[in-house]
Amino acid sequence: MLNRNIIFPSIIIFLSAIAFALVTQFDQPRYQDASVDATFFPMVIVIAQIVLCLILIIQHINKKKNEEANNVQSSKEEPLISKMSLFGLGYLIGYALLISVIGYLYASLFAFILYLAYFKIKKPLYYIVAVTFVLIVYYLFGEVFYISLPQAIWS
Amino acid sequence: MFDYLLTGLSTAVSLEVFPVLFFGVLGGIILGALPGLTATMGVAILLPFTFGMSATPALVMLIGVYIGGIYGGSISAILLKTPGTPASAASVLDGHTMALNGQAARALSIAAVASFIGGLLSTVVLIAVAPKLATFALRFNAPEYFALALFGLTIIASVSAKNIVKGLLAGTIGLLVCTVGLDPISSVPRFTFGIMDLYSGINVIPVLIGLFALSEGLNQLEKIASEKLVKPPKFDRKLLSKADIKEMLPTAIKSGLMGTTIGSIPGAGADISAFVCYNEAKRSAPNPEEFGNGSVRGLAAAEAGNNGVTGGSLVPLLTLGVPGDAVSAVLLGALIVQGLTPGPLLFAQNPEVVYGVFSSMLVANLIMLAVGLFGIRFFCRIIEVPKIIMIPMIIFLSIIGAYAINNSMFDVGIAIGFGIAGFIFNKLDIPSSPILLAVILGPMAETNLRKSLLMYEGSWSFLYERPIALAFIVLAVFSVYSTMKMKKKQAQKEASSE
Repeated sequence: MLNRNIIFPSIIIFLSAIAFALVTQFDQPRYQDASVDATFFPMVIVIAQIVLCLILIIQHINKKKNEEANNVQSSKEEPLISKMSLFGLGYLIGYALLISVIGYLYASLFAFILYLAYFKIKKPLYYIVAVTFVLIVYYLFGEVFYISLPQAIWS
Repeated sequence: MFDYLLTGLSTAVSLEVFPVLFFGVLGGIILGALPGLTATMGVAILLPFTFGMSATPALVMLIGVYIGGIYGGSISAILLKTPGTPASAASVLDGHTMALNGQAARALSIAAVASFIGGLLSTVVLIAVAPKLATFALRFNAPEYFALALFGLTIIASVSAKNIVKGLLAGTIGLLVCTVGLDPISSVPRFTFGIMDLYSGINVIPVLIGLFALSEGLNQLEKIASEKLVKPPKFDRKLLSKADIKEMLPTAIKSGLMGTTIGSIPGAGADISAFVCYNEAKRSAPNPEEFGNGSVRGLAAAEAGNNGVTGGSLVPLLTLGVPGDAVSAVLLGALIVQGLTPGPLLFAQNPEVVYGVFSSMLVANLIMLAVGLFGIRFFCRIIEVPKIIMIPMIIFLSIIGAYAINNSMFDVGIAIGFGIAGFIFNKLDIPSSPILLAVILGPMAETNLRKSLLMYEGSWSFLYERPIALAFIVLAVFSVYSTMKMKKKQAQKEASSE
């Protein structure tokens, strides 16, 4: 019975309840403007979120009941996080941390080559494309558009 | 107006603007041609390149990506039966059948010409309508803007693919995100937790980069294991004939105008437009049985219909500051980065930018036509590019794009957070577009609501006392009602076909 269609709305309800508690603790302004203050908008949103999540849970329970009554087998859901997506998340966070330490150029060269190696790519062309791409972006951002890229902490 | 347009045209063909416009259209076609990479994502990942540009070339490049991206989607739709973008799904029906019959070059050239006609008509309508609407919108005050934002938020109902409740939930998440920071009227800190970076609120650019580029990168990475090397069908070099042009022209013109109208309605994007135009062309055709079996009119209707949206969707964006769909929401982000405020004042304060964009759109459609007709062989190679090499590029551009806005790793964290959220939401069938629309429209709604209440001393009577505001409220109610009715009808249709 417990699946992502129940768990996710439940998590949102929990987070909304925390947000609701936080909204009640907002500072009071030095003056009061009209009938609506800083808490109004977030409060309405949080309440709407809770209501919508409850509707989602009810929708799911009703759907399950209908399926059981009609003996319909619901299609199997794909896993929320697969092995490859875990790799992707790790790669994303790792790359962000790396550029903040060693800067864009070295981090990107290292990360791209590591990525190709992970997928056991043997074609040299792929590595040439990877290095060229990193260098072109470095050149375009730094020399053409004058947009600063993350620098190494020692520079 | 004509003076501005002529100045705009000279800007569009200038050495400063033309190369970026060409690069934008070409980049858009390439990204659009790769299955899974949408025009929205293309605009999002190329956005960082515009940070160092002045306003006109920056916007022109992104609009070039948009126009090219919508056309590019038809390439893989015709050659592989896999639409590069959702907007090209209708082109599969007749385009791929033609390709299977050894007429891929003919199908691609029909798609290019029809896209050109749709895009051109759409731009002409934009040029004619937008300034008038902007002049009208100068009468708006806080109550009208609140009602307009409310109407804009009803777009959420129409962009919620399967489940409206999930779309609305995504909208509330976006609305909550935009309350972070100092409250716009009384400067009370909200959800800041003492973190200085949060006092100025959450920047919209990392949010859109995360939702549309990073999450898509993660999605594509997950599919990489099942990726197969694609081989386009063999085809001759014969492009469309004069008879084809004669046959498709009335349909393309009609669909282009329909697409423009559909595009200017907030929430109705290029995918909806393509199918509506296709169905209308089939309904009014003397030989409807040809549709789905390689009909020239069918392909032309779908392509002119989806490219017709490009100009139409910019009408509410430029004149009212309300994005009509996800791509225009990303374009709105680009305007903000350039320090421009979309809306009626944009026409009064920055006419050179507005008309530069208008004129460049005319040129962009010409570039698209030329590239589309002469680059057919080249584009057939693009769809063979393995996605494995594209994914790190998407991730790197997204990360440095998020960093480059404020040179802040905090923004990178925000982009990653929204990237992961967008990826998980996708698995849960929660659409990402409502989050972005809400992040953009939320502050507009809240600020103007509170200003209106101050104007009316706490009374909510502005909602029915001011005719324009009332009209927007009625439109908002009608928009939600018609969307719900449409979805119900669609669900019944699906249930009866099962």
